Amino acid sequence: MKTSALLLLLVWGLIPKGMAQSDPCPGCPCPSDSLRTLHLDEIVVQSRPELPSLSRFYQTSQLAQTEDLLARMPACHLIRRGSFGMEPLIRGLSAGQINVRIDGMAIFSACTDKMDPVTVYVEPNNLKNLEIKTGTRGSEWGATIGGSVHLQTQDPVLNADRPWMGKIGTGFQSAAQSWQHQLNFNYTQRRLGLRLNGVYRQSQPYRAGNGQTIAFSQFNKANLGASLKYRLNEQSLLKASVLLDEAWDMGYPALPMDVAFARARIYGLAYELYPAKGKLEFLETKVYFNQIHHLMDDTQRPEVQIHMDMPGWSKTGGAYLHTEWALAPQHQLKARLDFYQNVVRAEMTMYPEGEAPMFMLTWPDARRSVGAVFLAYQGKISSRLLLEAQTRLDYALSRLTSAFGRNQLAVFGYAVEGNIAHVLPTVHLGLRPASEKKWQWRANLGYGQRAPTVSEMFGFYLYNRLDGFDYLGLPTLKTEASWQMEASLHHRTKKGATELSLFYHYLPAYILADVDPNLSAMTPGARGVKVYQHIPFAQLLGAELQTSQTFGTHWQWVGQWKFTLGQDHRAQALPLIPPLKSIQTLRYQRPRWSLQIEQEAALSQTRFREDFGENQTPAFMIFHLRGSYHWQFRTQSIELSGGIENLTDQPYWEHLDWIDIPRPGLNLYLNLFYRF
Amino acid sequence: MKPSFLFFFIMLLMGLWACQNQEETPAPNPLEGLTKIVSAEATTLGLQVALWGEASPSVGYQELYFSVTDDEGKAAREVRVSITPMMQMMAHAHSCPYEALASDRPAINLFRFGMAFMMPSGDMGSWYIDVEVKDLATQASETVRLPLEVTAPAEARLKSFESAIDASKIFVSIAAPKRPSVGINDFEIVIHRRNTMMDFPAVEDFTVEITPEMPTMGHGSPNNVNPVHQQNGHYRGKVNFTMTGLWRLHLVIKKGGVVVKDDLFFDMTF
Repeated sequence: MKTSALLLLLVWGLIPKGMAQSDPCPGCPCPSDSLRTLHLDEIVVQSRPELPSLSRFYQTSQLAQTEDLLARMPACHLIRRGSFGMEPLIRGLSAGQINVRIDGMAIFSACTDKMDPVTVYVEPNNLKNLEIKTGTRGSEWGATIGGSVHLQTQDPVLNADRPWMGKIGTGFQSAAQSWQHQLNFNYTQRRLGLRLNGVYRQSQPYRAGNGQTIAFSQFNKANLGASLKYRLNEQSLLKASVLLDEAWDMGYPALPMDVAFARARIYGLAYELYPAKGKLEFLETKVYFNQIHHLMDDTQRPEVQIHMDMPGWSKTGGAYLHTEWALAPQHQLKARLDFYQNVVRAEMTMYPEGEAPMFMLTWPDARRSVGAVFLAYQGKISSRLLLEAQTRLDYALSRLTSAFGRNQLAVFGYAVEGNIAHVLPTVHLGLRPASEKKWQWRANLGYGQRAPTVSEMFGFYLYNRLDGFDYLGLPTLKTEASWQMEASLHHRTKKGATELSLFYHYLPAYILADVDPNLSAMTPGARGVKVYQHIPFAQLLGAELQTSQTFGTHWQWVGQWKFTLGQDHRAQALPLIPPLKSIQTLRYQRPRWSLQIEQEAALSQTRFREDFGENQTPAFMIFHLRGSYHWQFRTQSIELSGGIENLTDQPYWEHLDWIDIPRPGLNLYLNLFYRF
Repeated sequence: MKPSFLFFFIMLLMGLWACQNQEETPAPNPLEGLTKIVSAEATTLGLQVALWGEASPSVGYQELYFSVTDDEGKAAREVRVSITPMMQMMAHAHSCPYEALASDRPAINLFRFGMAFMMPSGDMGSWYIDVEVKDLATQASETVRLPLEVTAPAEARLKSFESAIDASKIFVSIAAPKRPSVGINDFEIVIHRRNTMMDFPAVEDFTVEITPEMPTMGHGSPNNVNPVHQQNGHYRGKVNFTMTGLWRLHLVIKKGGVVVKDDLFFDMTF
């Protein structure tokens, strides 16, 4: 929850003295959410570099991608299929088990192979907050068991001293011979703010640590964001935003296909009210629409038995009403009504030589309509305890809208005629001491359910390169549930803060695909067919430890360790669970320049699932060196930053990297930014 | 909302709903979906005999309709029709498997037959159908000859072979699906045996196993239902297609557990 004094104090502890005093947001009309919060387990990354703190830890380079930030957040890992479009995983849970939202808007990928996680649509320079909430605590954004990733875009600045502000920058990276450019402009008047944001990235196939060039790892991408804020009066404003993302010639070395293009259009219109008095503190209502068009193709690949095209479409429209109430001093309530509808379709057309094309719907025109109500209360329930209680109820209706899609599944004996309903209750309870102490604890309990995804319900011969099986959906799948608990301990001094979190999930009716020996694979070369089904239960257990300490006035150390164990009802490992990973950063900061050395390491993953295409991943340890220098001229500044990543040119990959494709080797980069 | 307004609104909705339900269905045209293939006049009876079909005749099993009308196109008198399809070749002539079927269209003097043409018209010979029309009131009858062009379809719908048991000539034709599609398809074959050049009785005691395959991909489809004999040599089952493209339907035909033919197949591209 946003602004409790407790959290703020913890935040203050994390920001080195002297740096925290800078004006957080010049000229903001000061909605309460412009407060600079940075809390260890509800991480909020501020992208403005004049706010140092942990942002330099999460965002190591001004031209880093959003997924690079995610990779450094506690509880988060990435599933990697190419050098772009990595899929977030929170404490071993991903895809439909977690929710990714952009400015509160529901948005869903259009790619059956998960090449386009929606986190790619907001670039870091357009990011105000990047927030991960673990487990059922993330239910503000949708029924969930695994948590949420919320990407909040930058607001236009209103009524600043200068009408024009902006930043423009460019950078080069050696490993992929990549050029990346970005700019943003803010124009402001008394009532009006306009912000434009653009990023262009062009990257060649990269060179891995062993000197090998990874074929089909190139990508090209342009992202354009525009937002407009208009203040109607002292209490209310209108916000309109457009995000356009265009990607083309994207290689996915771990997949048998690449992406010819991916196109996203994201629109939102919101009204915000900040009443001056009364119990209602904040109200926001928004309507939105987004569509993604994605085309996979294999025309560049040399050894292909049959060429195929696999386009996919995803369209989502929705609206929500969000309110925040101060019921009494120290008793706050959030209430939210959510509605959205998502329609997806994915096709596969194969072109055998001299024969008729073969066509099927891999996502057979599936539509899901969701209505939900969310309530969150936070308040002091005794002189010593603070309660955080959240509940959400989703009602989801799924159906296939085309006869073609229904007929396909009829072959497997499923009559999917009408709506399939899922009722998804989520409850979250958190307790912590109400008073400020050096040592603090938190206890969280949660129960949640999530609906099966389109792939899990209706997916039609979706080929999985990792295990080599075609995947079939099961329309009769029920919800997947999770009972979860989390305990954390914070320690805070004037010099820094440390947090240790332990979590445990018991997941009844866990959804995991299993081989159906009666079915024959469709994809040439596939090993068989797996059908999604429920296993009796699965368990996840893990811990995260993060610390930030300052030494003297110039040194800061940030350390992070994250670890997850997962197993099914037969005590076999769950697939795609990362081993212990550690990221250590030591930073030396002067007013004009800084130097930072980082160590990234992971243990070998010996708990893996061979039947899901996994093998033992070796341990690795790599180092990065970064530095920056900036010149200030009144309101303008220039920043030159650079670094060397993977200093020792290690060939390495992480456990969640599909088919052991090595990551980039030694990489030199240089960025130049001009701010006005 | 005021109650009066709400009432008005509900009445308006009900009115709209009522309007939508007042569409009248016109009387169905008994020849809908059929095209005239050929016609001839029975001069002494003063009647027009016409042959209709869903498509132009092709090699394989199909349903054809014979209409008998007066000059104005009306079914004036009650008649009975019997047919003899014939292929006239250089040295000899032969018929083909055919059967009279119960009418499935609401019209009198529209007669439905099933026919399995074994070969296309061409240099080898030409097809005609002799239609005998009998006026039931006067008992007068007349035979008219309808010549017709039978074409070979792009993919065979009829195949013939010699039985591995007794070397008799067997004809297997596909009656359904006429237009295969992705999903569950009704599958129907008709099996005949050549007794003489003029006599092709239905075979009713075979068992048939089907296995669909995409030869390009080497995979099949699940949950197919082997065709089982119904009547008059018609065997019905289900065939499933998971995608469009070229499908090959492998058939294994047995009689009393003994193989009649085990390498028969039909290709279907859609």
